Amino acid sequence: MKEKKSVGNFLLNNAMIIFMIGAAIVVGILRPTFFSMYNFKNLISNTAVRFIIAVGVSGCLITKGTDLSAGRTVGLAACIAATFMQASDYSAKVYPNIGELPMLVVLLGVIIVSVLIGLLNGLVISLLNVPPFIATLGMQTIVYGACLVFTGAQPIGGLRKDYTSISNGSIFGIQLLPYLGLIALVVGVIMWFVYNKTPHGKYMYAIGGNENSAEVSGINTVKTKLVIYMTAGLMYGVAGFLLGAKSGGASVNMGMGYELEAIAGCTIGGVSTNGGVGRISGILIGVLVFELLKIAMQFMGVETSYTYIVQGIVIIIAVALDIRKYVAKR
Amino acid sequence: MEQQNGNQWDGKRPDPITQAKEGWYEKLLARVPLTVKSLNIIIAVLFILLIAALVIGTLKGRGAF
Amino acid sequence: MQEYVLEMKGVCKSFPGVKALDNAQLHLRPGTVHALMGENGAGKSTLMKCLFGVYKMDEGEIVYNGESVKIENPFDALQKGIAMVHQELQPIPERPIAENIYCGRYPEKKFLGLIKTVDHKKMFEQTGTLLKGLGLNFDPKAKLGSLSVSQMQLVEIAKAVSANAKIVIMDEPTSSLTQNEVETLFSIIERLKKNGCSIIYISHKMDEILRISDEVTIMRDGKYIGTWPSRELTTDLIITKMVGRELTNLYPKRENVPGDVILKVEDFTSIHPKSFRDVNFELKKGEILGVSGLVGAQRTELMEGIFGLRASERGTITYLGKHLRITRPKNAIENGIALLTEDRRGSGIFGVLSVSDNVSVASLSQYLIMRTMLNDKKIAQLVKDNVKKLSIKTPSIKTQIQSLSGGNQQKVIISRWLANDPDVLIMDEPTRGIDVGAKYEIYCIIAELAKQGKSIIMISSEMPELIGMADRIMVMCDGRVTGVVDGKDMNQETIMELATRFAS
Repeated sequence: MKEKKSVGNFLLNNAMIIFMIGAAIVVGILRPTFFSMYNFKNLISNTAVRFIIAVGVSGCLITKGTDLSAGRTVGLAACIAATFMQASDYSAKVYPNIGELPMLVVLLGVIIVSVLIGLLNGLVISLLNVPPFIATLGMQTIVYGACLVFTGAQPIGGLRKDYTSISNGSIFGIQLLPYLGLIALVVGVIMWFVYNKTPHGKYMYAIGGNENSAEVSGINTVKTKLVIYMTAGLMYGVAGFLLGAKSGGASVNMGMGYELEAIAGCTIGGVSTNGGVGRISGILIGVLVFELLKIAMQFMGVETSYTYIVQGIVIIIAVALDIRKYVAKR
Repeated sequence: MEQQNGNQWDGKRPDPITQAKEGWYEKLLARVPLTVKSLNIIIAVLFILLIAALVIGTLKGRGAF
Repeated sequence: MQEYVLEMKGVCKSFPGVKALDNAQLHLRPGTVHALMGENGAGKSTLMKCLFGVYKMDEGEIVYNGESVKIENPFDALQKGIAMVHQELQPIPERPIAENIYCGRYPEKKFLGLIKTVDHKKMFEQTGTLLKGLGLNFDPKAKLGSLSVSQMQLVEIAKAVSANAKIVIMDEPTSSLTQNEVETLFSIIERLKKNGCSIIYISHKMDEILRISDEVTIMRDGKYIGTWPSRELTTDLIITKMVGRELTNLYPKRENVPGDVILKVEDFTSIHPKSFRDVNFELKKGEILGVSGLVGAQRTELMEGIFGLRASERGTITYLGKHLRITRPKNAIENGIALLTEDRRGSGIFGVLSVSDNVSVASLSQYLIMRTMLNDKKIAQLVKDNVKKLSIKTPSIKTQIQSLSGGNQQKVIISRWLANDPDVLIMDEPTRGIDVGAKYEIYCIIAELAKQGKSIIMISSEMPELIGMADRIMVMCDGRVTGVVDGKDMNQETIMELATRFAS
């Protein structure tokens, strides 16, 4: 009797993941060309970028906050990266006088900007005690404005080959190990280490679990939250840089709404709206199955409007399943 | 018995009585008459909607209607 | 007229891993106050939640006014005339008192004969009448949050009364009340009895039970032990039946020898005029200093101020001759001071985290490899040592702490502080909400710590506890220290006098 109950519970708690894997299998059965190298590569490179963003947001979610500025920050990062990675012989180059800069320098510059944005978020949230929803919502608009100013509302193109090749290349040319996947893996491992093996990680879970108890235990909640939002910024910068390479260009529309999918990926993967709970492995799975669903829908030719409806319902189910864990048992 | 302003706020930490911040989530859940049973039903309905959206979207996308 | 207005028979209820109720029973005579007693985890609250419709019984029957009934949910219970005053308040502080009392069942009127709206006038009027009738002088329009915790509890009771209940369940109703307010509660109960109401009264406080109740039902481990008329019972008898064995001593023998003064607090004043002020006291090495006073005496606030959680306007804290500057908890912790807070759930435990995390969270910096990485092996050893030393009952160190009993949770938090080897341990209501057996274990821990030379400051609202455990007792009233008693002066009368010196 007890055995049956826990199987049922496992199924329900992971219902979303099981459903989406099931849907992918159904698609594969209906049209076996679904399991192609092309789709696989797409899946890996999409997941890689979205995973890095989701990891960034996860710290905010675990401490009972949120970051609605994630998408626009990724967009800004992509625009800055693309602007400074334009080929020198491109006719519409934005800064024709600057020669070709080393890629790492541009990456560093992009990261500095995105970490600063994160720092601002963190300061407003932890020092001024503005609710994270409001603070990051405001920041979202500010970052969008900044991006408009920076790009002059013009799309950026003509990127250098060495930059865009990041998204195509793979280790030793082996198709199954694309660069993007490797970078995401490295990010995942490092963040797993931070979340599980460092005091900062423990403090993060503690603050999410019970901020009052954390204060009493002597944890510096202000410092921890600042680091969390700055780390999120770091993630958005890296993701934006990679996104620019992947898309071969950037525009002010890039990244719009990405935070919602990141939060969805986290929630599907087990990060709780109640705070204090969440694992890197779960986030990876959550983002992966969500991307899998998107690819499957595209492959099956689902009408675009309906793909939005489907994604929306998926997000709601994920949150409902999460809330269900905390509702009083009858 | 007279009413008195019992607990004071000293500006350092939110007054435990009037602070709504901590525990707001639990209080919200407590006030909304959700039970595991009703949530199961809501989730089941959502799943049905999900499958419906997928099927209709696929058919529409392929020009069925 | 039936012999019993309510009977619960053969009630069984299980939760994952634990059988909370095992053939429990209750037989309630009309117009009586029936006390329900037992240790924490005995099943009292669970049984009442089954009655009030919060839980569904696995087995069992409820016979109400001679008929077998099924209670689907709290709303159903209220409709049938059963009301419950909860132990944990769920107030909506931003809304007026009247709205809180009529929450979910506002008096309605029809706007333009069609649209249903809330009849505010009626609601405030009814609330006013209700409160006056109970001797409570609150303004129905005032925000609930403007009341003190004890007053909110009285409002909670008024809420139950307003539902015209025939049976009122009161779960630890006096836990936050001052002595005066307890008297008010008792007069409310008398009034209810006269109106034909029957009351089920859950409490740990023996003297109250013996005073107010007609009959006492005792439960242990989810089982029904028996029912006795209260005049046949004494405190010792009740404890024996609750625990199932003879308890010769409620408090352990103390072998600590207080030494020199190690901590001196002078002129300590809060930034807020109504909080603690001009506080002076000394703490000796290896001493247990009790802190007594009524609810609202600002004892907790004073200790939080010393610990760095609350701001102070002036005052000095001197530790071993050194002036301490404490502006945040970290400062206090680094100087060897620890604080076990009053509200375990609210500011003590990290519910969703494991026992291991809860123990180690305040001392992580001691267990680092190469200054960055956590030494999981050493941390696990620390946790296991503490589990053994303090006899913490838990399936594993990775178990979520919220599934442990109150007493075990408290031991986990004590371990957390011991990991830093503090010299001064401030404990705010360390045995609140903990059953008799676990209380004794915690007293032993406190006695042992004092014997080892640690100094303990113990805030408690249970006077017998302080008298049994403390070397000296500091008494506060309205934010000021009214006196420190020791030796022969440590008795209920002297302490009470000091505790009420400035009380309104």
